[in-house]
Amino acid sequence: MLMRIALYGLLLTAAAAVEGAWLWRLPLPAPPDVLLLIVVAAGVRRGLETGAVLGAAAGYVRDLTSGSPLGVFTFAYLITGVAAGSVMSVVDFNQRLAPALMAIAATTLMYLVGGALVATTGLTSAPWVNFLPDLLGAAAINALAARVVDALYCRVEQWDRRPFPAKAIAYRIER
Amino acid sequence: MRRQIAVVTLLVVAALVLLTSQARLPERRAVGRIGSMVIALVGPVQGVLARGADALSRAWRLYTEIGHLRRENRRLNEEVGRLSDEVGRLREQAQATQRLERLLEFRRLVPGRAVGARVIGRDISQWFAVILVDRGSRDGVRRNDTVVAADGLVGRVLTVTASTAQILLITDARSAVGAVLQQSREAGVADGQGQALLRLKYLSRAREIPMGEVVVTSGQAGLFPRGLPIGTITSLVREQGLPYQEALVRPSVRFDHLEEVLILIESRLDR
Repeated sequence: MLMRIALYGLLLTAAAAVEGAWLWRLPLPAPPDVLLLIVVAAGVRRGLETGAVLGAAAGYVRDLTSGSPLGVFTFAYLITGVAAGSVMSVVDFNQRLAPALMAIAATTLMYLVGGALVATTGLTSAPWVNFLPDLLGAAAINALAARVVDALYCRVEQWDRRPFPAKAIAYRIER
Repeated sequence: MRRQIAVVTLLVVAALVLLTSQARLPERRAVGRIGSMVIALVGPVQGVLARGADALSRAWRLYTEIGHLRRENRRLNEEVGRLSDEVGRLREQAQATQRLERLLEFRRLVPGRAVGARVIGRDISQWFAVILVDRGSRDGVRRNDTVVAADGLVGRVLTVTASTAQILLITDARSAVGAVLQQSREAGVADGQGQALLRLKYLSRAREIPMGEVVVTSGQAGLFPRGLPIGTITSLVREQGLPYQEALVRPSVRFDHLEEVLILIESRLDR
């Protein structure tokens, strides 16, 4: 459990750093939202609870590193994580197009929740200006990056499941 | 199932509490001990990555521009051959004088001590305009310090860690700057809108405001020093029934090309 928390923490921190330092420089309509894609992969692969917790944690990291009002992305990513986790039983994430389609759905949901939140609370004056072009750009880029981020997430999961305890038990039995 | 509902409910309540605890005021944004630790962890990593990306970017630019530079060099050589020495000397002199005048004028506007900082990251969302720079409390940077570039006002310091600081740009919707028109001395408030243009509010309806008039900081709230260029008027907004008029202002700083800034660490009046 502690190993998993540490790995997830490391993954989120690294993703936030890479987003802030590298990805915004790419000549794209919108940089890929790695944190969101991690939340989607975790939710669909591990279920609602992991999606919710990782969503809240990723959103909080995003709030902290981006300087946005605390809670905006925490809430938006949390809802996205819950939604991703709730479709775990009906989505086969190993299908070729599944990560891309889920990325498009998650980006749309995150934009709608985030936009509604900042509009309702008056945190920004015009969140719907350029909303559709921004959303389409971000969804397309996220769809392209989804498989790569999913592979990265699976690699981290494999790290967490290294069979050290089983080896230790086998060793004891042999002796 | 019950456990899942409990976890989700708890997290939703926590997120809403977090959101409502600081409302719309960036002054009340308190990241706490855990938040500071996360920022302190991410900031230096981001700084190292940004430096690497800068180096790669420079190398790539150099590689791709070699052909262009060769052509440019040939053209410049031909041009230098055509021009007489006297014209060249005078042009150089004029350009140098212009640059020095601009520097002197800007330095005069900036009171107190200032530290230069490099932009090492920025928010990728469309709703907020915040950048991360590689100077922090170790360098004397404090919250609400004014941040400028050679062309004018950039914003103010939002959050500070030991080695980094987040800057709230004047285009962010949470930003409001006391402003005054340079020629007519008409006062107003330049509000960020989360977009490229600022909205200058509370201007008297009786005044005719010319397009292109320069807007500078008024220094009235004590947050920003007076006289820093904010931008120029691009259009006027006159709504029926309102006692005042508004104007759209194009910032003098190009935020998408911002690489270095100056943090004025002894400029505030309330120090």
